[in-house]
Amino acid sequence: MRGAWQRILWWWRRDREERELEEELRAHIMIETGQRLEAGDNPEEAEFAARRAFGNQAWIAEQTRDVWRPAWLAQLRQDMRYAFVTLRRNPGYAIGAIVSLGLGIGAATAVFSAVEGVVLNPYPYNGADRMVVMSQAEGAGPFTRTFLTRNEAGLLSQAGSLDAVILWDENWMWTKNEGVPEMVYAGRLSPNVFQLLGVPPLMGRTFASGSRTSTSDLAPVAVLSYRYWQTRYAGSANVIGRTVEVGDRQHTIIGIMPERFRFLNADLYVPLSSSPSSPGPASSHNDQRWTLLRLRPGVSIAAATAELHAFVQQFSPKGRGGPRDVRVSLTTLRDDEAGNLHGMLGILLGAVTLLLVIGCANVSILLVGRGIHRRRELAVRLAVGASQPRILRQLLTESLVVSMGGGVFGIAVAYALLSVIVAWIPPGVIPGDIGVAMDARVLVFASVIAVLSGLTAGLSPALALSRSRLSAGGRSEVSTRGTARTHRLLTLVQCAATVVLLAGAGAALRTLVALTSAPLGYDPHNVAVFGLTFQGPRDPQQTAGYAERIKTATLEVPGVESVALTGPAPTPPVEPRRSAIQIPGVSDGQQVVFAEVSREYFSTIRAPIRAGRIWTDAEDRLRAPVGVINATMASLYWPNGNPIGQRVRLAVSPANDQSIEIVGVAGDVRNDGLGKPALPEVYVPYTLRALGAVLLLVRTSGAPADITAELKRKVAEVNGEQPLMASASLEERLRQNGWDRQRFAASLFSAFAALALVLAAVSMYSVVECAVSLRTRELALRIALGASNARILREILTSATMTIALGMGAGLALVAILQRPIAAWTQSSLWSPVSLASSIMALAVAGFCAVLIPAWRAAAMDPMRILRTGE
Amino acid sequence: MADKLGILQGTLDLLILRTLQRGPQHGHGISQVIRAHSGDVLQVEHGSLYPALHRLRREDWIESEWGVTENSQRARFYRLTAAGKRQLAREESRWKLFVKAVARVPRAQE
Repeated sequence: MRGAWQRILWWWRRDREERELEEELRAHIMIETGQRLEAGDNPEEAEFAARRAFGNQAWIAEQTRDVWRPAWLAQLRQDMRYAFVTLRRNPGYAIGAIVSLGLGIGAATAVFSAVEGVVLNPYPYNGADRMVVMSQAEGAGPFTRTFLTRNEAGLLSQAGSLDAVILWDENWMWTKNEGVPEMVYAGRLSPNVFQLLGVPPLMGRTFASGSRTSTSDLAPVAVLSYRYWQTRYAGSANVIGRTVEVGDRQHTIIGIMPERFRFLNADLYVPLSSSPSSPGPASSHNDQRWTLLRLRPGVSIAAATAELHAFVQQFSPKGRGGPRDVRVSLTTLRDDEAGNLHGMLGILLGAVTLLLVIGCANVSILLVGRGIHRRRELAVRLAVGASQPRILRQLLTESLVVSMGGGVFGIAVAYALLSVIVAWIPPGVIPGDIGVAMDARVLVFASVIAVLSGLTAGLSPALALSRSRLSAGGRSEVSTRGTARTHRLLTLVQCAATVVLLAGAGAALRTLVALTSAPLGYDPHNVAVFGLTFQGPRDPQQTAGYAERIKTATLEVPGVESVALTGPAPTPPVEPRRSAIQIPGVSDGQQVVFAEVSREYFSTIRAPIRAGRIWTDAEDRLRAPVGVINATMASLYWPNGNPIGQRVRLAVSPANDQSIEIVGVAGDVRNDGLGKPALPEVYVPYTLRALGAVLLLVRTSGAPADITAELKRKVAEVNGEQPLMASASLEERLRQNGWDRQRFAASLFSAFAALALVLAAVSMYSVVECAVSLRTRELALRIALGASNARILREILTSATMTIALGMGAGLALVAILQRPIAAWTQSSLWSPVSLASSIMALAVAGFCAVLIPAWRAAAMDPMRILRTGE
Repeated sequence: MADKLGILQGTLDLLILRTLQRGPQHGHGISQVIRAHSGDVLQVEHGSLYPALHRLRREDWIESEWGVTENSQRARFYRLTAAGKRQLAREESRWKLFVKAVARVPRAQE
């Protein structure tokens, strides 16, 4: 007890204590010298004798200092210093080990950060883990996201398993920025949204649900997103209280949300009731909204699903009664929004784990290899009295120093890699409110990996070495067999892991090729896209006339070949809009994709017409109930008959009282993402339905970006108030919506696989090098006795090749086992003869080269020199 | 005397404390006193003496003070503390117990 206090005191004044200790010992020698002088020695001899009698002054001082220092600390310091010295003396080994470990740790940390951000803790919302997205399926049809009217939402919120139901609409809307018309992406939210998401505003307030009783007379207020506040108002503090014109109405700005709140990725939020849902009277009976449900705490998804199923059956579809054959499914918000990333991140996590395993195995191999070169040194240390635990501890310290170095390097790599990952994640892949950043937990994770891998990598060689006996004189090959076995096992594991990574890279690359070369059904090259919102409520007839004028104006722009209007893009970034369809005698209530387009749509994107015709200009203008279907739909519903002339009813269309006559069949366009086959689709004239916003597709003869300025001028000539937003061209959209992500996955995987290959090659090299140096004397003896170089070479190569071949076999087995679960996550299969064969080839070539160098060196040695010197 | 003994493990503390009972002394003096009073039988290694002195100081049984020897050499003098006196008593009784116990072990028949 007292000792501890004195120790602290000593540590506190350690400089003085050190000086005093030195003086104390010096005084001892002085006193001794004085006595010897008195006894009659001559001065020089007296001091020399006194020193000799005293002994090793530095050692005694060190022993005395140890009294004050905790022993383990002193030893640790000693071990660390020694480790640094030995590492500096052998930088190749240190660099090899630190780099292997650092790359492994860095990749694991970066990917873990991404997984943490996207999968484990994605949203800044209150109770985000209880938020679910509801989908339903009719009959045997596919599940589609559920949209609810306000009445249905009211009914649903009585469900006992639900905490809340929120509704919203999201749209491009028209606004004015200092007199210049502009478009904003507005979220029109039910008043309870902000309260439920529970994110406090950065400034001002949000529209509270204090007034939720009368949602209809909520004042026209707006809450700005951080991004919009920064870009439009330059982050000025006095925007609160100012007004912004959105969709023909003045809204008072009451608050600004913090940066991480990016619900819907909208520019601003207005109350759902303060603005018309979409222009035109036709939509008033069809105000279905996006919905998000929050479960009560403790309610399971299964229980909620069962309860909601009963509710949904009550919502009878328009015009029909009776219970419906409907299924309900709930997915958490996380799975719904990041679902497409889950698989990829999971696989990446698996890949980096393999990489880390390879890195650790590498360090272990390097440690053992180095230990073999140090057998003599260790044997001597044991002989002069170092205890086995002491040596073990020292070796462990050394491997920990290496792994700490690897950890520091790894964190640097992780930062670099994460910024690359974040920069490479194509826009739109991760919902805006998911934050990916390095955080403290991730750093802890990295440190734990570093320490653990240092221990595991250091433990087995440290144990093996500390057992080595003096009697062996540092010369024997006693430990050869055990070391060789460990090495073979580690190499085998590495080879297997490398095969899996290479196969993964191959699969990712094949998916990339499949995606980029997939027949789209149209030609996205040189098609510019503009967003066009229609200002204020307007009836469809008026809109059509107005759109026609804009179309004509656009055609006058030099370089424009053709112009079309469309609701959705040909390959929408998210799920395509669907509608239930009724075809007398064929289908009742099944879902088809649904698009409102102008007649030039097909020629503009160069989608062929397979049969029949497109509607005419006159039909476009007259809002004739005609439609064109795609080939998939034709073959699905009329496999033998002729669809032309048939009539169908669409539930979503405002013209659902009328049936639509099919006049033509168009070629399939990929309308459900790049990787999936086309779904049945119906195209109708865009004039049939009042659209608040459309896309203007413009086929150009030159680069799509070149026409932007001129096109904007022409449109302004038609209407100076018309906002027009230049958007990514069709090709850019495809890149963003699929190609980039796949390219990203493929390049990450290829990078990991290449890394794995390099690491595996390094370790194969050092394994053979180590095996050869263990057997140097034996080999030298055999060469001296007449064994040919070729024979020695063959022997070394054979054993190494066997190990590599076994590892490849294990890797193939692993691929076969992993193939099924991974296929469930992604569309691509690991098991492809071409990519597996090339993986094996790559590994074989790399391995053979790595093994050949030390083997050749062994075969070419001078046996007499070895035998004479014993080196 | 020809035979010189190293210090029996655990008895160095007792020897130091006993020596200091006679008054403050420096390291060199302590080792000399022990050797002289044991008739040159007990030799204190310096490598054990100084760590032992500092260990006793750490435990607060002795305290140190810089002073001057009769030959006007500056040196660090150690002195027993109150706790040191109690510790000395404990060590003394343990030592007596040990000697008695050793004496009681019967010798082989001669």
